[in-house]
Amino acid sequence: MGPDGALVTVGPVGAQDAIGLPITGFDPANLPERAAAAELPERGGGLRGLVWLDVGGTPDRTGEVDAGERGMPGLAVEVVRDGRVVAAVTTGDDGRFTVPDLADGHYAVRLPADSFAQPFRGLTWLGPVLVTPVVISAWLWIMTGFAMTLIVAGLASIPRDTLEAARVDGATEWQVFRRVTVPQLSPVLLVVFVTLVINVLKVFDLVFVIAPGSVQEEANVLALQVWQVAFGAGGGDQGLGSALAVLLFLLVLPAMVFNIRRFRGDRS
Amino acid sequence: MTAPRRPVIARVAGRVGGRVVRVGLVVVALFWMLPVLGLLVASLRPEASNAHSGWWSVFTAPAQLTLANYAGLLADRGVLGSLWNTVLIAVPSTVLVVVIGAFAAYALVWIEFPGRDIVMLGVVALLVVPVQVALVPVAKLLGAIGLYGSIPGVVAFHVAFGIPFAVFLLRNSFVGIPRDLLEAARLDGGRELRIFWRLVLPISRPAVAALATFQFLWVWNDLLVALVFADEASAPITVALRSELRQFGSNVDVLASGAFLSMVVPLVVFFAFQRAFVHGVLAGSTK
Repeated sequence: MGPDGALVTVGPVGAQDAIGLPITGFDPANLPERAAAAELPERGGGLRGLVWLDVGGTPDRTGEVDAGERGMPGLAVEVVRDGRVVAAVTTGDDGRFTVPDLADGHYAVRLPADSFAQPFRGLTWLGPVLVTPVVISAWLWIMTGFAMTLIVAGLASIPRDTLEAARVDGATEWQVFRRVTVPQLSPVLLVVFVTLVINVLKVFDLVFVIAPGSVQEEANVLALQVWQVAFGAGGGDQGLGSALAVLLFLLVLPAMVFNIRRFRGDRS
Repeated sequence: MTAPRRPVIARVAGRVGGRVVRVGLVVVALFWMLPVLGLLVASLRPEASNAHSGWWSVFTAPAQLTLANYAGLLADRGVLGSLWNTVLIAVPSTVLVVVIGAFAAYALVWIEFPGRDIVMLGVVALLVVPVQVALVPVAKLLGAIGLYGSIPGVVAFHVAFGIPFAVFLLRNSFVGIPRDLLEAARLDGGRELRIFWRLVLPISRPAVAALATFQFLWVWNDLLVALVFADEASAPITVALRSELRQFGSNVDVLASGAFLSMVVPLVVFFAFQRAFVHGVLAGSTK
């Protein structure tokens, strides 16, 4: 895929070669009626080639012409040498094209970008600016349910009569919530808070999976960095990985102290 | 008796409140389920459709939906193998953690032995330790004993890291059992093992169910541990899906259907134990 969205062959193509250019990402139902069965051309008589839709054949092998796959008719094909277009042809109904009378040498074959609709690029829109907010929102989405489950259980254990007493005394719902429910719920809220803090310090898979390779650095977190330097591609630096892990451990120490204190307090 | 004066807004809110709150909650709940719906729809769309439009186009063109992705997935030995690996990792990890954790919690609560409090504090401290801390040393250790890159190695790591939470949760539940009950059982000549199986475990069933659910979900959804400790033959579904992500960039058809398939099992487990789960999680933490 060229920089402007055009499709360009990778290796050099000779003046007498026969090449196949498989296209995927196109709905077979949108092929025109006249599209005929795809078949690779024989070599000879100029540069010959086939542009076909490599989807839906039997067997559906990628990069091979299979039974049932059809050529893509009416597609512009350009032959390029040293950045200049030296010939332009259009594919026939069977998706084949022939460019005769080429001087010997190495060429590239290009399908210009304007033949294609702008593809749906999926995650590639996740640039350096957006990737962190997106990871955060994914984490929020996952953890909200978790937090809510715990809080609902905590709410269920609050005695109803305190709420009723406050209402009888004329408190508004907001006041009941703010002055009665929340204070009674605060132990649960604290537990949930600490659990979530620990959890977010450990976050690995979200950043690892969501951020495309090019912007992973922008979204990098300690927990991911540990893996990258110790086990990731080009890594293997277990010393640095261990140092980062120790740093991560230091960050969770306050939570550890909090847990131990709370545990001791519970028992006394 | 006159009702206390309340602001107009509060009165209006009180009258329509119930319905508004209910509608609001339903809207929020539906909104929260959107990503799952998107995943499901994307998993039902052919590769070509996913390549040129988002899943929401299903509302204008529902005809594109197909089960082909799932058919392809179920015919793919690699995906099925990794799904089976996930089962082979998650089930023993869960069973071992529950069994070991239950024995340990029982001893820590009902058997007097020197250093008991220190051990319990150690368990509480270990609750917060991130797995990353142990990756490098455990990788070396497993390498030395020949378990690196195998399913038993992955299971061993999950069990080791699951036990503190298991002990903590089960201890909180066991502590709530009245002392008299246990003393009576002991006086009747019940041996410890018998008391454990016949008395303590049945009483603490919600906590055990919550622990099993939690542990199972964690291990099932784990990516990091498997990424480090599993080789290609023992890789679970999370790792397999991740490698799909890297190889082809945007083959949403495989990813979406695979992710949905791997989500179905934890969902079933969660709904099966949901009730016990919610009660058990908070056992002892709301005193």
